[in-house]
Amino acid sequence: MNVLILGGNGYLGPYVVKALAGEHSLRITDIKPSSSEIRQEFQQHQFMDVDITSAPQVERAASGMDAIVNLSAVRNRLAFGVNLHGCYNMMQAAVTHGIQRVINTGPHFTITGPNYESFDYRINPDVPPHAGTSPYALSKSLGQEVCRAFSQNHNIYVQDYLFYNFRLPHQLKRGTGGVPFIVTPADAAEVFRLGLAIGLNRLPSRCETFFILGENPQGKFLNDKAKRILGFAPRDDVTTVWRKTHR
Amino acid sequence: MKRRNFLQAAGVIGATGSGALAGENPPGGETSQAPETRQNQPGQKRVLVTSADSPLGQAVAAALGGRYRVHLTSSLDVPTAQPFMRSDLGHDESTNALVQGTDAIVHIATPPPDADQYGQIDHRARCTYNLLMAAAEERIETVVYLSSLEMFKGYDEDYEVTEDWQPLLSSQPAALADYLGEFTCREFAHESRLRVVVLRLGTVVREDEVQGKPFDPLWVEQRDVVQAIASTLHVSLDDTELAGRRWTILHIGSGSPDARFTSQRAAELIGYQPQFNWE
Repeated sequence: MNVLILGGNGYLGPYVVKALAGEHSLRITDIKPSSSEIRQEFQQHQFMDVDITSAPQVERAASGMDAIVNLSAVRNRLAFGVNLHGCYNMMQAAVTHGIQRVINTGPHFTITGPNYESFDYRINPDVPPHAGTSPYALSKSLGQEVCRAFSQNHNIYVQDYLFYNFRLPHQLKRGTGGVPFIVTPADAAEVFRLGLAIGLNRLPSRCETFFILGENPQGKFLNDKAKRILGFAPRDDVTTVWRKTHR
Repeated sequence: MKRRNFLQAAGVIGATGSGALAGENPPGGETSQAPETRQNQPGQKRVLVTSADSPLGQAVAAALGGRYRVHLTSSLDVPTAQPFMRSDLGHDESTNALVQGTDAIVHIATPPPDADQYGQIDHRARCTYNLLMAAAEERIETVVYLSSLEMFKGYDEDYEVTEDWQPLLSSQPAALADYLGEFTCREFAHESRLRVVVLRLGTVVREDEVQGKPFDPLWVEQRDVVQAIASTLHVSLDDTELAGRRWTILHIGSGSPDARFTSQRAAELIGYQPQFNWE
């Protein structure tokens, strides 16, 4: 499958590229050029400088693609440009080129903002969106609504993967604790491989949101939808961080 | 009765319910009210009206001028006798300065005339965000946001669609932008940072402009829209009825029995009495 990756040079990008490189032909794009090491390692794939806020650039980058993965995110004053208009440009490009499969990403606040934090447990990705008023969360939420609008009016299937906290395997130590929404980057990257492989007719609707996190013994946030539909099976045991230190 | 007295005093409806409307005065021109009612009185609340360059913005400014200290803003320069500050509603201190000392904002949110797809969405989403963030920081009491009933046109016409129904999303920039603006407002209201009243309008027309044309069930006369805005401000600022509500949506259509959407809730909550029914 020809896959356009937007924002491929951010935190998660290199992990996703590594997970997909063996099975797909990638067009890796970002406003920030990839390092020469990355270009060397994945030289059989295409690299392109793309500013997601530029509709012509996104449309050009999407030409000939079968799927789009959007990893772009900005938290500063440019948040609306990248997180909202970037989604609009992406979806418009998908319409133009007849691309049916789109994977969008964002923080868990996209759906479950600060007011949801007061709920004790079983917070899942299918609740009414309530991002709150931080520019990052709200602009991401608006971007996701744009994706939803296009999925309802065009033959495009959007999967939205939401994350919260990334930890590397060596950081998963007893007693370190943390928000009950942790995943390692390698496990997070794996879900993109699953999302590109799943038959579109196996998605319950043309716009589905998934929480992507490792096991969460508290049950505060749920990853069961990603497991059930995508076959997500995190390998790294993040539950260690909530275990007692004296054992 | 209280609301009706107010509406009559403000010139929004006549004593018989069908008299001259303040909103029909030419932009920036004189109203039919007595001059003394046009002068600002001590203790009058201050209302900021955005999109002052738009015909609706100018009609709203003219109608509210007697009761409130009206200040105007727009991304374009507007010749007006009322206080005016040009603003792009950016993410900076100038937007805070714009709203400081204001009791309520009427955010008409009409994109600039030359706005492209990007501009339409940007104006409704980012600029609304910046305005509401400034309003929350400056502890503004009420924001009235003007949206559209277009997003409900997709429902079967046989349904009695009310304010509780889910919008049907469009990927067309203008309709999508309206929805994104509402979405932004809802977040501020649900975080209890502002009281927001969304007025979803039908297709705003002037009676003289549509004379002789086949009736469109989505039409709402501009003067009825002005009435709805004035009534909302009255109930929000001068009455207690909406004080406990952080988030209110009202549908504003014509008085025609063939109107596409009911305005019943607006009648109940703000005393909305549309004067135009094209019968």
